Amino acid sequence: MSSTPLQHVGHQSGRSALRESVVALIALLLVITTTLITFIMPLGMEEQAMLAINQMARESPLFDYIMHVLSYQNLISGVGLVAGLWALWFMPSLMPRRAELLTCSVAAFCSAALSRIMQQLTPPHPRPLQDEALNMTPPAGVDAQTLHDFSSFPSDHGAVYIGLAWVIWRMHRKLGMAAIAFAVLLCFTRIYLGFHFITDIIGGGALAILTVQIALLTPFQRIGGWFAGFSQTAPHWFYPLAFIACYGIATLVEELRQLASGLLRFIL
Amino acid sequence: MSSRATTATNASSDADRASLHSSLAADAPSWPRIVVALIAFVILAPLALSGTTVEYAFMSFINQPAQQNALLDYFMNAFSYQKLITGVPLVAAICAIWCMPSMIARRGDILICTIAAFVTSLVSRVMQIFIPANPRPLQDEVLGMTPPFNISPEFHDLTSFPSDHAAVFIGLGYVVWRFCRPLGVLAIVFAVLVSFSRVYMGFHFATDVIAGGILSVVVIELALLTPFRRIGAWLTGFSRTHPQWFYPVAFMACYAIATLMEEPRELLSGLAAMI
Repeated sequence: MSSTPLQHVGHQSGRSALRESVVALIALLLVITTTLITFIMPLGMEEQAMLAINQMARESPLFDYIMHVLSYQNLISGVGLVAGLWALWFMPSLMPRRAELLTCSVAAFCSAALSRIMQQLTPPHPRPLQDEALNMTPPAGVDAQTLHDFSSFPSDHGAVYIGLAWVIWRMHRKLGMAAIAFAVLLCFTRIYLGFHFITDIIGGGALAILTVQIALLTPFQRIGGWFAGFSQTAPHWFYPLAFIACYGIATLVEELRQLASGLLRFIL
Repeated sequence: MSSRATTATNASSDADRASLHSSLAADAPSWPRIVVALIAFVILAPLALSGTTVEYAFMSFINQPAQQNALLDYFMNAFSYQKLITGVPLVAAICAIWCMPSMIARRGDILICTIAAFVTSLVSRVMQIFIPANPRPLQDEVLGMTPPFNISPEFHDLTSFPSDHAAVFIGLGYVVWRFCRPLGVLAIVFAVLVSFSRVYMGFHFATDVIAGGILSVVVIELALLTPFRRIGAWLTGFSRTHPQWFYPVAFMACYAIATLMEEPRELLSGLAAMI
């Protein structure tokens, strides 16, 4: 099998390129809209929705426990979605699109990094749990002071989950629908637990979709094709590194971040 | 058109079947190693459980740098709980040998041996139930250890022997070594160093780590008995016929092994606490 940069991008007709651009534009509009809502004009409708969801809190310890577990255990959240990527990678019919899969998956992860950067650069925005105006009841087992981040907008978990689900859906409708449903469930847990507002999740998800669409541009696809070539020529290097990378994506590099912030405390 | 994946890492179907047959004949447990390991374990266990002077002297020696260098304590702590810098590279090494073109015929054995490395941690847990309670170094008043900086140990049990982390880490290193010596030497050295970070942190005595390692050698060699090898071969068959099912499941299993199934264990104990 040749390892030249895959030609699928050239298969895209003018009409398909238009559709991808439209998706990107809608995503960009959603990012802008949610940013405005978050920092300039909060919606009363959102507050009502958050409080309605909050009605369920503390009603059933089992439900609260399951929601909590889905929000932080990686094996049943991020790992599941990344496993979906592996299913697509090894699908015989999708082998010509491996470069696209690789590039878009990396893009989905990068959108989480972008979300973190946005969180640091935008004015502090308290999470629902800490929002005094909202006065949420924390579900069982949730400490109102757990999260030390500056800003709840946009949601980096929302970005990765929705981004990966979008990548899967682009390549395979059926698996994609399961992935999207799962991603929505995971995002709901974070809303239910008071870590994020609904607009935080939508903003993060839209940012991820936008990043994935941008990754469809030829320069990025060429880089992806180059890396994908290694999976054929040097699989005993590619796959161990891919496993480490996938562990990082599935865990949103939590451990690396912990390590880095711990080391920074020593240096500073 | 065959539905099988035809990547460069897969030979044609006839060659696969032929090499499977030859590989089924080409590997077997190393009985000398098993016997030596069992003897070593039987000698070590009572010594470890009774707390010898040599052991305490060694622990006091290792404990000397504690609380003197915050950076050292920080790294030791990180190696004792982070999976990204412990289990993950070892599982990645297993992925590497799985993908080595020369190892394709031996994939079944690699698979069953890797499962065995994880099973050793279960064996170790079961042993901990039946072995009399023995405190970890940090809990041992006779030893009087200085805890390293920022240590907040959460010990839910009073059983230091044997170390299930060491069992899995050294086990994975041993599996890599068994199939690829150069990479395996690196893997074993890494596994031993990582296991000793847990000794430094006071979670285990050195003998706990050695015992865990010896146990994993025994279990992994036993995994090469023909019935188990057949299971390995059967599972590996799926990697050829249904890679789009095999590899996602394998990824989840690799994550579970690299993390010693901490998350499912937490989940189960949390659910048990509610019932």
